[in-house]
Amino acid sequence: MKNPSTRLLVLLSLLLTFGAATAQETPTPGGTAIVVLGSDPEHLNPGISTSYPVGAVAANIYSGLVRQRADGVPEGDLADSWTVSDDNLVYTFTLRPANFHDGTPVTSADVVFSMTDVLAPNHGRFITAYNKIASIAAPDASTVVITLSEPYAPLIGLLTVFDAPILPKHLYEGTDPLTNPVNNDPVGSGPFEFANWVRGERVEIVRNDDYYLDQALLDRIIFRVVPQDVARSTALEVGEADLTWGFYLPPADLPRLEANPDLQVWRGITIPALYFVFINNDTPGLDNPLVRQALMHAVDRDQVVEQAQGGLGQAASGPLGAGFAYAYSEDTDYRTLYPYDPDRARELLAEAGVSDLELRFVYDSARSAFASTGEIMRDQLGQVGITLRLEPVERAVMVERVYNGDYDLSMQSFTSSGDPVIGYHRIYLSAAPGTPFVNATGYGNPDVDGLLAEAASLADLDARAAVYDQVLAILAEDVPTMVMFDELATEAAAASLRGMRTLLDQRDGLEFLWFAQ
Amino acid sequence: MADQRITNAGASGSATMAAAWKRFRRNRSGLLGLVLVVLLALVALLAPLLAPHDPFRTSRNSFSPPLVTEGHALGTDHLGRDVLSNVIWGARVSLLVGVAAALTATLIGVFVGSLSGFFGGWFDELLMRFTEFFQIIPRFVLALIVVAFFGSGLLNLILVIGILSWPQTARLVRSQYLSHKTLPYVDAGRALGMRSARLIFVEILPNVMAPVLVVASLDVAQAILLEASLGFFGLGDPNLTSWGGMLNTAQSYMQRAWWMSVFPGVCISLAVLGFNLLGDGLTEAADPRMSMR
Amino acid sequence: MSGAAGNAGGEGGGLGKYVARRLFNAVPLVLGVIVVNFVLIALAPGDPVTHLIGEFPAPADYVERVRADYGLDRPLPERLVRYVGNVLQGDLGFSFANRLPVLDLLLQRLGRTLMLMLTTVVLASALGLALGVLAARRPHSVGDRAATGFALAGYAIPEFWLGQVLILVFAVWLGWFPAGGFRSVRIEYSGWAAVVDYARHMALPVAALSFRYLAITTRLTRASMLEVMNTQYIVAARARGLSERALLRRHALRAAALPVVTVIGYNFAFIVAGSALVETVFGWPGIGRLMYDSIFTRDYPVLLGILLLVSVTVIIVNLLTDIAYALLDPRVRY
Repeated sequence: MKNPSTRLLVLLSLLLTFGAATAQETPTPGGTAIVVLGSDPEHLNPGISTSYPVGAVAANIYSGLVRQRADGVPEGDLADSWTVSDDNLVYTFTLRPANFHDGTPVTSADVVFSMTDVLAPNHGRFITAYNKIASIAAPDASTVVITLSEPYAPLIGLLTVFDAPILPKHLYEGTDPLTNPVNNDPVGSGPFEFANWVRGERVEIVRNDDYYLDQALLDRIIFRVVPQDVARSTALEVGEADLTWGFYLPPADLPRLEANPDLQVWRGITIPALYFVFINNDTPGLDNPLVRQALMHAVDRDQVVEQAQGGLGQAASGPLGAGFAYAYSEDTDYRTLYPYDPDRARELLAEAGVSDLELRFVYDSARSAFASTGEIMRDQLGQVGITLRLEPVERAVMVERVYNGDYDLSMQSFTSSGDPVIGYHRIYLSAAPGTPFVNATGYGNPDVDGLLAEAASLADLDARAAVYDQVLAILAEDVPTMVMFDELATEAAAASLRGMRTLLDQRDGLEFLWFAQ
Repeated sequence: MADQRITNAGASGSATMAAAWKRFRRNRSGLLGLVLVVLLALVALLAPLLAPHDPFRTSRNSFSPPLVTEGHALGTDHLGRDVLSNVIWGARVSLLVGVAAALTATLIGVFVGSLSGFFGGWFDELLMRFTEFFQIIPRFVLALIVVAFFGSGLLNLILVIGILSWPQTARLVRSQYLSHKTLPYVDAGRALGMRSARLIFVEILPNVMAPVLVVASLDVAQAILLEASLGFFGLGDPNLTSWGGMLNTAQSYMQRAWWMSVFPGVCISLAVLGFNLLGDGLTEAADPRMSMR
Repeated sequence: MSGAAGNAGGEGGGLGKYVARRLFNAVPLVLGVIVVNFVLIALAPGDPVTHLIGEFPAPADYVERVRADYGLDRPLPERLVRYVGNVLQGDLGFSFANRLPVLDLLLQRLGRTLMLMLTTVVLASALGLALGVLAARRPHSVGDRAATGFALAGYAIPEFWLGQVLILVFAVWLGWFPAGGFRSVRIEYSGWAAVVDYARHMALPVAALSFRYLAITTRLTRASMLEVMNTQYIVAARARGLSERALLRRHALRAAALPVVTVIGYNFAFIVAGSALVETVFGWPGIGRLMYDSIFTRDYPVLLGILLLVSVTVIIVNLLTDIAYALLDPRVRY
């Protein structure tokens, strides 16, 4: 470019383009986003259910005391701020001024009512906190005091809208929360208000203009119910949907979606979840740790991640996964301890004196990742002389069978819910038979129980790490369950959508969504 | 001596059988049906010899399109398993379930229909109510419920499909017995002192088998389709390869691997077509007036 | 067709009594359906309450309370009696999974399934009749063979697979039609645009659903047309110089339509089954999809409600078909 004017022109146009580009990245309000749900929510009360679609819609209609940013750091939601006493037993929350969508102010009375009358009897996760709570008090209209009976590190994480939504006392008092019609016509205090629900098709929420925190940028969000998993990807591709979370995306479609210039795909870890296989300690042969170690050697977990989970997993894992740095140690990584080695597996089986084992693999028939894992295991266990019978059953039957010991191997996935204390301890703690969603193996080690209890009381992560190291060492030897992989979360959205994953849970914080023009 | 002649007079003599076969041979589509069915049977029987791989054997070479990887003519599925081998072994399940279910349906249907047609009376009334009941609820819906609730093993599938299909046969057999029981040879048999059981099963039954075989053939087609539908909903036996099961898995991979869906689908269609054509051909051969031509 | 005009005089009263008798007979049938299904479902393993709880361990007394709320802790005969009593009063129960009265839920979804089913029946019947007539006019011609071949394919091809293939070809590869759902979600059309929107979404599911029906109707029309065309009656009319078209229209079609009408009516049950399959493939939010879902969520009241609905519908359609048959064919005496 010899002519200086030309150079200036080029420079100017570059500046303008750059300027325009940056200008486009400021959030612009307005518009409607369509978010995909894989099934119709049963109702819209997150206080009586931990179901995924219920939380997805209701988390944006209701509020909790706190919310968690993407990095896991908690900040105030309905609670403006909070203090913790020195002995870690007394938590004092100061509520900020806020109203429910019908204009009624939110007070501490609503908080106490929600927790004691609705959540405590009905919410599976909140119970784990409630069992450690000695009292919940409301000294004045904007103060809530929670007193624990013993220190419980995960408490704050259990006070988000998913586990402790604040429900309107004036609409729920004196009614049965399970059948109250407000469940289908919710009145919350969140960034969106409930607008409309066409059963089996869509749920609509609209911006709450009186929201006390970040005003929603979008005017409206439509949750569209798409039961067929493949149709969810197609909906994105043809512009009939703007956002689909990994929970609802078939992994097989990800490469195609990633290649599509009109879409954006994200992979990463939000809230860690662990995929594993319960090993029934009461089945003859499976009570021998050598046999269990053989099982780990016999299955190629990298293949499982690649084919059964579509690559959305991390096979490097220990007994408590790899999602929490303080609960993971390289010494107890199953990839180094039990690499895929069918010969070694056969050796161990011979050493244990076990041959011609026939095992029943029980799993929830709705989970295709479990089915594929079972089929890979059937092939690979077969090669070391173990016959695997696949028994897919509906969830209700699976729960009944597995948690009453009627199985040999069973694949499960448990979410950590943000803290291994909440989500993972239950995999290894001794449990009475018959309780769903806890340890179903019949394995119980008093040392492990003691160590896990200790870890639960420690807020300091380094101290916890030291305790976990001891636990991991024991579990890595005993292998009570076959840990398959840590789940990798994913998300696919229209290329122009911004503001996803501002908060920790992908379903949360939809008020931050906006469309770039 | 006398009963021998009487029996012969009623039975389908070899003369009529030969004529029927000649008619069947002339019917091109019926022959096509026969060819398809025989082909299916051969594939099913010789599966261990024909299949190039163990259908359950997984590998890291997943989603290979047809003719791309050596040794996998129809490609591989999401777990790296050979599609051709699975299709071949799937023929076994389809054929087994189809034939066994149709056989069950035929046995029950013949038994009930013959008694009902021959004796009439309250038994007949009961049967009619029964068949009406089965007509009301679509078979697929009932099968779905029963299998979803009580398990999807092979035996379950055969029993469920068979039990849902017998009313058709029963009604046909019943109407046949209604018309046959007034014929002279039956009267003659009665006059000779033959017991009812003998009359029903030894004398009349052979004359009635022709249309029953036609219905049985169509039953097999229906059973194969029903089994595929159940498999498509994930209610097949998971420890066996079946075409319906393959279609169920293929759903998630339609865009990425069309061959996982196309080949089992084509096979189901051909199998069903084969039995339908065979049934039509048999209809025409047995009695040209009854046919659709 | 020997004239049985003797019946014409008593037709009105006879028909009325016939209908009454049939309806009367239908009652124990429906009752039987309810009882059998109720018992069947109650015997099934798997606890519906588990589905309601979510993915996390729930406190034991919460579970017990939900169970009691839905009356699941009572003995079977008592539940059965209570259920039947409720049904007779128009109360079909409360859906576990949807937290809505069953009747409301069914009514919401029924319309959408009817959209599919009625369109299918009308289209497939009309098209089938037309194709069958065309094929019958020139038997064994190329057109005839094509129609017959097409009909045979329709018998054999599973409709759910056909649905998948249609989506792949027409929605994904060609992009002519939406890939699922029952109307556009982003924009709410009204008036004529809404009709077009619904039509676009219905095109593929109706195509998949009607294929088999079309096949049956085509074949049957063709067969009965051929049979009729060869009768003396028609030959004589042709000899009298009646034009081909008038012949078809006035005589042959009417006679041929008879068995077709019966087939359409009696195969209605298959369309119901087919709709469950097709609604699943296309994500069509109708009764078929609801039935499938409620089986897997063990939502017994909804399932029973649907079975009741289906059986009543099939009975009514059968009855209507019988009446149509009786009216069309003067030979029938009741």
